[in-house]
Amino acid sequence: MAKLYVFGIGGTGARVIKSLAMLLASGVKSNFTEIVPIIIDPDKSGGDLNRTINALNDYQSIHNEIGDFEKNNFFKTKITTLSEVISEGNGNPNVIDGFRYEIEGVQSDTFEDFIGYGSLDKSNKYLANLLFSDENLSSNLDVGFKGNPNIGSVVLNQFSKSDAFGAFASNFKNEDSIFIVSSIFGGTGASGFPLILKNIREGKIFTGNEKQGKTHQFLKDAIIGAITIQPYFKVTNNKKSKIDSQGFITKTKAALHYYSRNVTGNKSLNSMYYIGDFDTKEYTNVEGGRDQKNDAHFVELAAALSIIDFSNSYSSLKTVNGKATNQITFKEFGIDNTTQDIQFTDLSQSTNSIIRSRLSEYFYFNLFLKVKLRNELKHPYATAYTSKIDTNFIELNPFYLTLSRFNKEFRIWLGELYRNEVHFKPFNIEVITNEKTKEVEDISVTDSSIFSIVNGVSEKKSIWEYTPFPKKNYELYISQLNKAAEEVGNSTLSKRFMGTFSLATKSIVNQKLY
Amino acid sequence: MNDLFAPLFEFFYYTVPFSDDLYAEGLYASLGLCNVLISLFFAVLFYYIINRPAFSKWYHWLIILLINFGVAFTLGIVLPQTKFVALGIEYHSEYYIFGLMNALIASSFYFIISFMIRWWSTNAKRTPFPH
Repeated sequence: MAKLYVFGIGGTGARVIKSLAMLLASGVKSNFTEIVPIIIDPDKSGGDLNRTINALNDYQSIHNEIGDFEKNNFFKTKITTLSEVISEGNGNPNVIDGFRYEIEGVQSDTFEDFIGYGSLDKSNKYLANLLFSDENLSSNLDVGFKGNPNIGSVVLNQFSKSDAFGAFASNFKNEDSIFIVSSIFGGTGASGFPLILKNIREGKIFTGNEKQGKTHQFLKDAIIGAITIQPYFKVTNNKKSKIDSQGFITKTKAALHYYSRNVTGNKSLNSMYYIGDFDTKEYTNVEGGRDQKNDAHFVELAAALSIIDFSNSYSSLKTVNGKATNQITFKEFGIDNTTQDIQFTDLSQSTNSIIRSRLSEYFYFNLFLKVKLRNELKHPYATAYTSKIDTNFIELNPFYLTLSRFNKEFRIWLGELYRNEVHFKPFNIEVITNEKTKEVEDISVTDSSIFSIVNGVSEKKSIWEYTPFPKKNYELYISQLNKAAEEVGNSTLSKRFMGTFSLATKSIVNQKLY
Repeated sequence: MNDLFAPLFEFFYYTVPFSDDLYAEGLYASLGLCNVLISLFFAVLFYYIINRPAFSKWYHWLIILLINFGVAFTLGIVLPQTKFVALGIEYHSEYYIFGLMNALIASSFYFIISFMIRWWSTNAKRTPFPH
C-alpha cells in the first residue's frame, strides 16, 4: 500500500493538485495506491485554494463509494487526507482533517508580530531591518507572502514544527514517497520548497522543548521528486499590490542558482522536473484572498503529469542516509508542435498515451450526464435492474449530487484551460462565462455530431454505419450503455451507475475515436 | 400439424362448410406455420436486428405488431382464396372474417414470442412494457 505524499505549496501548488485530481478522476493511473495531498498555503481564503479543496473533498466522497468497483475506471486512485493516514496509525487529535495545513501565527499577525520584532534587542532589530524592508515587516501574513521568499522562508519553517508535520513523519513508511509542487517565481512556493525538502532530509522531528529530536530514517531516506514551476503568467501593474511580475524572471534566476547548490547540487532530490511557458497571459493583480481566482492553465495540467511520471519511475530511484544515490533525473515537459491552441494532436505520443483516451472518456461521460441523462431514463441501462437510475437518483441521491458538483468543476476546469493562454483545446466547446464576474461558469457543445468534437481527430466510421439501422451520436452511446449495463449486472446503485458509464464510454471512445 | 392448429383457428372462428374445407385442404397447418414464422421474423427484426434505443418505445413495438397483423390478414385471405378458387369453391365474406381472425392469432404469436425473446435484446428488453 505505497502512498505518495504530494506537497502543494502556495497557490500554484494547489492548482496543480486540482489538475491532478481531474486527471485521476478521468481514470489516469498512478502506481501508488494512495495519494495524500498536503497543501501548504497561508492564504486560507484564496479562491483557487478553496476550489481545489472542494474538488478534492468531492473526489474523496466519490472514490470512497465506487473506487474499489473493478468495472469502473473513473476515480480509481485513492486520495486521502493526512489525518486519515494518521488515524490508521497511532492517531493525533491535533491534526485537522483536511487537505490544507495551518502555520501557526499567520492567521492574524503581521510579519513583525510573527518574528516578535517588538521584543528584539537593538542589534537583532538592526539585523531584521537589514533582511526585511518596512513593507515586509508590516505585511499581513494571512494572504500569503506576496512574492517575498525572504518572508516565506521564515514563516514556513514553522510548518516543520507543526503537529501535522510530526504526524506525517511518524506515519511515513519505507515504501512511501514524496513529491513537492511549487512555483519558483512567487513567495510561498519558492521559499517553501527548499525548506520542506531540508526538513524531510534531516528526518528530525522536534516536539515540545526537545533538543535532540527524533530521527525518522524512512523519511530521511524517502524517494523525493519535485516540480518547480517557472513563470507562465504575469500580473497587471497595480501600484497598491506588492506583487510585481517584472521581478518574476529575476527571482527565478536567483532561486535556480540557489537550488543548483542546495536542492539538486547536494543530492537532496531524486528526481527534478521543470516547466514554464511564455508569460503571455496577464492575470488581474490580486494579493490573495477570495478574489485570487485564476483560470486553470495548461502548464498546471502538464505539471500534474509530472506526478504521474514520477509514480511510474520512482521504483528505480534510491536514497541512502538522506542523499540520492541514483543519478538525479532532470525532466522537462515538451509538446510536439509549438502552438497557442494545443490539441491532442500537438502533444507527444507519451503524453497522449496517458491522457487522450482518459480525458475524452470523462468528457463524454460528463457531457451525457449534463445534456442527456434526465431525458433518457427509460432505457434498459436505467430501468432493467434492481437498482434503478431514475429522477429520484439524479435529484436526491447524495452520491449523484456530489458527482454532479465535481463534474461541473471538471467542465469549468476544461473551459478555463480552453480560454487561458496558451489555449488547451482538445474539444470543440463553447465557454459559458458569467456576464458580471467573467468567470467560467460552464461549457457547452454546439456540434450536433458528438464524435466530431475532438479537435484534430476524425470520427471513425464502421461497417455498421452503412446498414439500414445505423446508431449514431447519443443513440450509439445509449446502446453501449445498455450493453455495458448487462456486463455490470446488479450492484449497488452508485457502483452500477459508474461501472455502466465507464465501460460504455470506454467502448464508444475506442469505437469512434482512437 | 393440421390437427395441432385446427382447434386454435376454430376456437376463434368456425363456420360450416368454410372451416371444414380449410381443414380438409390442410390450410390450418400452412397458415399456422406461416403465422409462427412471420411473427418470429417480426419479433426478431424488432428485438435483435433493429434493436435501437431510438426505436424501442411501446408504440414502435405496436407499429411492428400492426405490420405483422397486416401481413397475416392478407395471408389469411389470399391463401384460402387462391386454393378455393382453384377448386371452384365459392366464398365471400368468410375470407375477410377468417383473415381478421388469422391476423389476431398471428398478433398473439408476436406477443408471446416478444415476451420470450426480449430478455436477450440489448436495447428493447423492456418493450412494450416493463417486466
